[in-house]
Amino acid sequence: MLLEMEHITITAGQRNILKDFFLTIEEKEFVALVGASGSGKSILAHSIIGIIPENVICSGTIKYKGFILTEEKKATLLGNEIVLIPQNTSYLDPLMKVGIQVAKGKKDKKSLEKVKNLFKKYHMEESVVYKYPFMLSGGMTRRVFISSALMETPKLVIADEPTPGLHKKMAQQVVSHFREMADMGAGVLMITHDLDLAISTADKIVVLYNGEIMEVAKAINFQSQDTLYHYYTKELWKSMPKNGFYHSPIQQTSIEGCPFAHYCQKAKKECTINKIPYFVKGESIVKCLFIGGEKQCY
Amino acid sequence: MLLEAKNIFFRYEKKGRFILENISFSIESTQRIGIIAPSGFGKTTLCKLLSGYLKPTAGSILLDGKPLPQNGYCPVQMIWQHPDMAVNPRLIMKKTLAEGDAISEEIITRLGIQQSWLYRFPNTLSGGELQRFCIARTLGEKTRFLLADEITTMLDFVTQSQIWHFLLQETEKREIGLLVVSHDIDLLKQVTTEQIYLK
Repeated sequence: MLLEMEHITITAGQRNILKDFFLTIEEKEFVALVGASGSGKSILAHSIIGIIPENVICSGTIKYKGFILTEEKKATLLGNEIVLIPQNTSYLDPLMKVGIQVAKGKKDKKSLEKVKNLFKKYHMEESVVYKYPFMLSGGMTRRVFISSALMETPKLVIADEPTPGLHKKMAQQVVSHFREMADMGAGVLMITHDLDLAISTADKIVVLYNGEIMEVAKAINFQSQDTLYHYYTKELWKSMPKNGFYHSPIQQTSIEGCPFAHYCQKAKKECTINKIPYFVKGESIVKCLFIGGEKQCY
Repeated sequence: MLLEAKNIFFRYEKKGRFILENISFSIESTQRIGIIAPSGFGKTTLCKLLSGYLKPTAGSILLDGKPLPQNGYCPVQMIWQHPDMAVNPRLIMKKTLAEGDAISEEIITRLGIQQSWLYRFPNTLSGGELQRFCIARTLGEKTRFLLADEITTMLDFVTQSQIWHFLLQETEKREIGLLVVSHDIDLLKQVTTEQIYLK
């Protein structure tokens, strides 16, 4: 197992951003983490890397290749084996030419040659090496991030919302680069709100709502709503413009238990009171009392 | 009402490249039109021109044959792609809403805006929550046209569908014309009656 996360809880002040989160990624596996804005996706990525703000507290265990990821470990692994592909241009140094940044400040011929080759691979001209971040378009910035991730041979790639603002073809292209990395042997975690894109490229999809995992399922299960089990996952599927553009009544509520207890037809009294455990059904893991699978102690 | 763009040209710098060249089209306040164009085409610029935030270099934008009003409430309202950049970070949401023109309580409830959000600052709300405020703000009584520039790209499908169903109901009821810019062709087919491809 490449990455194992268990009982991750992230709190900021009084508010729980992420509750009892778990995730496993294997080598060659492409996992997509899907959820509404504000459901705590980005902060999860940042917590693996260790760049969360000071007032945010993260508890739980993160294991990398079977060993707990400590601060010392991170120092050697980050940027080499574990790479983050950030959300936007603000993660680049605005006063440094992008080629030099990708080469991590090295200016020798060999490093620059490597940068140029990578840029060529991602259809960027050689002159881009000598440009400043503000001179790049959104799509180019993304490809610069990908190149910088590939300067070493990464084992774990974490991509935070890599596609908003890109048109479909471009987004697909960006994601296909991640697929390539996974096929080359890396584990990939892509954070996105675009379920459509996740379905077409990922192996496994984790659905997050309000800081909690609702369902973990194979991407193939998303071909039809019959192979999806959780109420929210079904709603999400039906709301896609190509699947009928269903108008869902869900509003954010803060009750104990299942947040969908008021909407779900199967819901009984215990749904509103108790903490809902996870159940395993087939290869899916679902946070619902009524799917009739085996109880799982997460 | 009729909103027309007549042979508009636009460039940001005096001798720069023309972003838009000779664009003409019109939309009735009973229509819902979708615009599809590649990245960097100038779709946002077009929306800014139509809602009076920018003036065309040449050509004219007419509302029922007259130019857009120079002062007072503009009947053509635009909803922006990034809600976090379209609100004043130092105003609580209640004041941001008040920037609009007499927004009815009914709109606020139907958009799912909770009373407690009204007293919060924008940096404590998520993109989806903020976008609801930005939409409410444009729906004053005198609004006749809405320009929606990629307004749901940052949202999950459940929220996207909720927001669009509200907008479709509201614009139909009040005969507000809707111009929708998006990369998502599936979405445009659902929310608009005709689609224009610009190249």
